[in-house]
Amino acid sequence: MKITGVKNTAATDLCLVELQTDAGLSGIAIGPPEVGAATENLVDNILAGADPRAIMSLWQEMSRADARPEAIAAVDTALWDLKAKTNGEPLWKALGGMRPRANAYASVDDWSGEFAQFGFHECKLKLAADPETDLRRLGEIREALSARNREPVLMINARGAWAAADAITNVARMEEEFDLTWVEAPVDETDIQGLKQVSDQVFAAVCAGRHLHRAADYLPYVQSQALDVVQIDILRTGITGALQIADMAYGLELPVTLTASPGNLAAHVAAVMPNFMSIEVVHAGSTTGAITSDVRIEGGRALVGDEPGIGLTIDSGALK
Amino acid sequence: MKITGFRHETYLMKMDRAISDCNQPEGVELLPGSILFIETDEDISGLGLGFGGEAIASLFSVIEGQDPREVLGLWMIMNDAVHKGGNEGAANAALSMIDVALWDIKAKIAGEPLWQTLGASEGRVKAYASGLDYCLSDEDLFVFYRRLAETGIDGGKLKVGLDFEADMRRIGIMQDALSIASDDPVLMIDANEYWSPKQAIRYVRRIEDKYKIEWVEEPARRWDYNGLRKVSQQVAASVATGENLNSIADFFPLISNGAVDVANVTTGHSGATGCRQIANMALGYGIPVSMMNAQANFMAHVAAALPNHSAMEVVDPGREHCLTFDNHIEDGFIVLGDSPGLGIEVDEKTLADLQANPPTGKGTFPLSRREGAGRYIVPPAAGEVPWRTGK
Repeated sequence: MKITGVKNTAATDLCLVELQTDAGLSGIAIGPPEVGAATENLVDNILAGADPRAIMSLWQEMSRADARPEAIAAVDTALWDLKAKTNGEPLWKALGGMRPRANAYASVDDWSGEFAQFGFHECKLKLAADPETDLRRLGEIREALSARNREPVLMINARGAWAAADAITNVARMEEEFDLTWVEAPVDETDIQGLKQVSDQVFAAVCAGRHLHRAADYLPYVQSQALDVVQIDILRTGITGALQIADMAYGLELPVTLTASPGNLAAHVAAVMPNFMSIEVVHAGSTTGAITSDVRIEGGRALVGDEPGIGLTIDSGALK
Repeated sequence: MKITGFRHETYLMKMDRAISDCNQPEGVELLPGSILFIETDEDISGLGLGFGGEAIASLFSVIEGQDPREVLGLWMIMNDAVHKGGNEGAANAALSMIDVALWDIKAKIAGEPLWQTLGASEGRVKAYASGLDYCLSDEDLFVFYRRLAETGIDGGKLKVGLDFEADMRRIGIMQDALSIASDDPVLMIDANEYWSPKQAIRYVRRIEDKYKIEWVEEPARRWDYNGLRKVSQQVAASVATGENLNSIADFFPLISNGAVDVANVTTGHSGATGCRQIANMALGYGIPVSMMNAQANFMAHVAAALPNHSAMEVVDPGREHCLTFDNHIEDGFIVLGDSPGLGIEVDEKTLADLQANPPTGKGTFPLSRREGAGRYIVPPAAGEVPWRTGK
């Protein structure tokens, strides 16, 4: 089997990437809307004519190219989709995982009743307003999750908005009332020393990494002990890169959390991460816009079926 | 597809030549081996090679009835199962073999050689020669490295540690033998934890007065990250280490403390899966990895798909009595064929013969530790190695 080309369909908020082969099969991935040109370059310069099974070698070659990470990630994901489809297996099985029951958390700006039916007992609040509002919203989340008959797991995302000293003060204030599992991006995520300072001074874990794309990018963070929870965005790392980063995190005894992904397909990848902690869920339903996924959220976990490949079905008519 | 059963055959083989390091210079000729077959409800079985024992049976109960394609998930539940006693010793040997057999099945189901299942574009791995050669005479040493140089291999790793003058002479012999493959052969040395860090620094610096050494392997104890780091800082050669560790967990203190320049990885690191975990961690740290030798070079499949792999050790002492395998060495590379899985078949008749009539010979692997290790050097006595005669 050989790769013959790529077809990109751009919509307002995403780009459907379809990697084509001479066997009639194609592998798909979802990237950010503007990723098309870069994937075309990668396919023209590196992938055209190659055997798509050589995922690791192609990943290496793409990594050496001067390409945006989201494009490499999309192509890598499409290659995995292709590999799994060729085997007639869902991605999680092609990767070597056991059927995922991936621990999931709801990621919200404010608690919404629509999440209730999915059984979450973990939730992350994106801080936005004044501290009083944030505290009130956290209280509402705790209240809503408490119905689950187990202690709620609460996290906050500070969006890099604070200076380290303010982060420490503000988190300490919240920790008087709430047991926080992690604080994400308490300072700008590139501020390694700031992250480390916060980790040293608050009780919650410091979580960051969604802006990074290769294992080596995490090195200064882990060497400085600036991260307590390693966050991976598979739309940036690809699946191959995510597995490398997860292995490194495992070696360092750091838990791994995966950021929100189209159709929550990160649940497949979670299955083969030895130190997997959670996946982020922004859209808990199986269909969002044009995307229908073989992942469903139930009892606060992401469960995956047996559809071959990454398990996403795209309604191209609904792509806007 | 389901895992239905296993068959584990142990046997003893006599290698074509003795192997040794400075800890047990006279060497050993006998090598215990075992072959694990994992059976499924379809007409496919997986093969694992190593030195598994009774632990196979208890660990097998964890994976029985599961789908063998879920090899990473099965690795995790096996690793969880051995949690309390630790992933080491007999448990580690069993886990390693089972993991390899599961990968063999996964690749066979896909109809691919394992290197392809793991994502390599070609089944090709750079090789270096390693004689495990402290027991070889100067003449046999030359013959060994020249034989491998004739297949294009341009790097060699010599056992050293007890006798500086002899080691210097023998590095020269190895270099000379390899010189047909390269004008500048890659020279490596291995002391197998015999030295203290400061002994290593003094010894290696003297060697480096004359030779450019690519790496010195295990110049201090496997756990001693302070000592290994110190050696790395004070000699020009890289420090290679890790072969006697069990898993990525053991590498954590070493890698995070800057004690590893080259990570030696092996099937003993909790199988192909564990091996790849370590390589991925090393990748993040910018550390190259080098695969240790394996029977029938089977771990070359894994090495082929590691982005940071340098070269794989080839010892070739004659350990494939009852194995046929689809790989060979060409132009200095291990070239893996297209046979599905590991590409290894077992000759049952030879295996049964070996089991019925165990060979006899001098000494049985593994090698023990030598007096003085880490404190003072005890040179080989006359007759202990062929190159030390007289008093």
